[in-house]
Amino acid sequence: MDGGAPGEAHVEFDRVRMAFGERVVFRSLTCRFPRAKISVILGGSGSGKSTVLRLIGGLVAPQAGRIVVDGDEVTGRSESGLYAVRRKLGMMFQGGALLDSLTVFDNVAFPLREHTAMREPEIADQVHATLAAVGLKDVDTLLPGQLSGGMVKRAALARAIIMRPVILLCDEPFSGLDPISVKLIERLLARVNDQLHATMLIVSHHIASTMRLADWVVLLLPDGAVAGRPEELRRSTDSRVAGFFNEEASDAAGAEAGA
Amino acid sequence: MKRSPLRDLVVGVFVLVGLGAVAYLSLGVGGLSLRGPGGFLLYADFDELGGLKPKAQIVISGVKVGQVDSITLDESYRARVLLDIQPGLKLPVDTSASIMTAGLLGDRYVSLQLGGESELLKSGDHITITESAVVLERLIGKLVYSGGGGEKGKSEQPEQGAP
Amino acid sequence: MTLVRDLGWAVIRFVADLGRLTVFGLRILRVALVPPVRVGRFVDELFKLGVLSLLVICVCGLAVGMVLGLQGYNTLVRFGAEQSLGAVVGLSLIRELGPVLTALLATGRAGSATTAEIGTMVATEQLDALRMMSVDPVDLVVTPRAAAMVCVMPLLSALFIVCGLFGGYAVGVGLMGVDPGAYMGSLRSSVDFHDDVLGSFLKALVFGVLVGLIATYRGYTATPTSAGVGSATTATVVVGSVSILIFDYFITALWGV
Repeated sequence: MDGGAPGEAHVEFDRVRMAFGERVVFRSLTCRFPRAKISVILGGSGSGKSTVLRLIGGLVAPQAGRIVVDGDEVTGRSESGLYAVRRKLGMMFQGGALLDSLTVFDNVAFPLREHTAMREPEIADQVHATLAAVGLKDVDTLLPGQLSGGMVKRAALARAIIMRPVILLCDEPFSGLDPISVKLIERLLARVNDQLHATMLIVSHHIASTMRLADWVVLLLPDGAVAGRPEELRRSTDSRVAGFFNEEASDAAGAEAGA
Repeated sequence: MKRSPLRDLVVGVFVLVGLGAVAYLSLGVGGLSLRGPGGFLLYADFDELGGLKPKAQIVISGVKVGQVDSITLDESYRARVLLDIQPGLKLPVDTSASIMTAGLLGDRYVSLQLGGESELLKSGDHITITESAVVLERLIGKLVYSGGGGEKGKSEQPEQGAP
Repeated sequence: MTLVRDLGWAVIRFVADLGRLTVFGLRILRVALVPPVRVGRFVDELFKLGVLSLLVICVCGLAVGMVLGLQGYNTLVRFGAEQSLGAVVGLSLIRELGPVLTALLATGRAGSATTAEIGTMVATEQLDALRMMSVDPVDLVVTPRAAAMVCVMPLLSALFIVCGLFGGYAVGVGLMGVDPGAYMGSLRSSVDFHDDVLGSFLKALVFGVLVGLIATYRGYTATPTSAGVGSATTATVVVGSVSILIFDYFITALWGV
């Protein structure tokens, strides 16, 4: 199912089985995510899109199979072993997951303060530079509760990239945003990929934006994954794939018409 | 961080006040003494303690001058009480010690009456003249068994704490 | 019979929960003893759990002391022993009411706040975000709160008792005419450091450990929904309060030996 992925695989899933109690999310998932490219993970609700990201980060463990991240096997690692892998990852959570008792500045500075020996002036420079890169100004002293949805996402992105991760995971970066903000985030993500050359894995419902961004698409279906370049999948004759895109397209059209 | 030096100060004050309360309860109320027994220690032997406990007060003319440090049994099975007294007091060798009661339900304490000799007690000496505690049951028993004229029967015990 | 089976499962679940609680506690202990120590967060929590509880503790302490003064006087006066009021108020507060009531109040105020805070962090994925940044949530979020609770409880208990003693004095001496010297005298002579005061602080310490552990555990393991956080908070107050009262009996029984 894996048409030639551009570039070498940076993250690999090998026959991964994931179930939460009785509910099986995927039976045997095998797929690869190419290095330095933007990969998009699509699928219906409950298909396990967010679970894929959590598996990569080791937040949950699969019942069977292997997951290899940047050459390191993630499955079967202890919590301290996982910390070593996570140093290379940056994750942008769906709700931002900023620490609500800290200011925006302190949130973005957090990884630097925890893991580097940088002094405060250097930290301030890097934080401001990163905030500027995501288009946030004058937000240093604000608390996450005082930010708009779009600003929260951008702050979360700033925090995710400040340590220059080799792999960036984005869980629903466009959710809950108005169309203008969606375009903004889209451009930001493209620019981050450009400048950092990080491998990016994006989970999203937003077909339009993700297809524009994607170099590689992994579509999660009930009986396995279908992967390929965006154009390939869109033109695919596979009934399941075509069915998915038709459904999403009509939903999107309906949403726009109603808006 | 929203860390302000003012907040730290407030926390510091809180901790100090809390520790102060702890100290007050331990020392002021609970009677914990940080120094060991002081310099001036005297022994007194009694036949009957009547409930005298360690840390009971030692009193001269109603003024507290020390506390009972410990109580043991001596060779002849009398109660040997170690008195921890304020240093610097001049007590003649014929000073007497009696066990009294404070109030009707009150605690026992030791009252010292000064004697008249010129020689003084030194730390480690024994007070030779002692008066044991009055135990109510024995007193009533005496009253009952001495029969007849009640006054004669019970006037053997000279001093008692005021009921 | 399904009743027996359900009861059996309930017991098994309870014991399993207890086991998880213990493991959680050991984890906190390990994190607390290994440097680096997060002093800043610890001090913040001392403020939130201690300083912010001061008003409640002092007012309630005063009120309880006053009631003890009143009730104590009314009872003692029947035996002509009202001059011993200081002893009655003091011993009641120091041995039982101080540590127990302080702990119950702290559970309701500080304990439920802690559970709600941590539970909300679980629900908004903040703890997952910490894990993804290679920071142990137990280190950053849980341990400072648990440690602060343990340290704060004896201090608050002492303050409660002192306020209570004052309340008893105010009512007994001020209102009911007990002799001030007799009040303080009977208080001092009846309270023994080893039997009473030390036991009181021991209780407060144990209660601090209980509440700190239960409140953080419930928050940490809360179901990440608003209903889940709500029920975790309620559980903290209920389980915490019951545990305090049960442990109170055992400590009293063992210490008094």
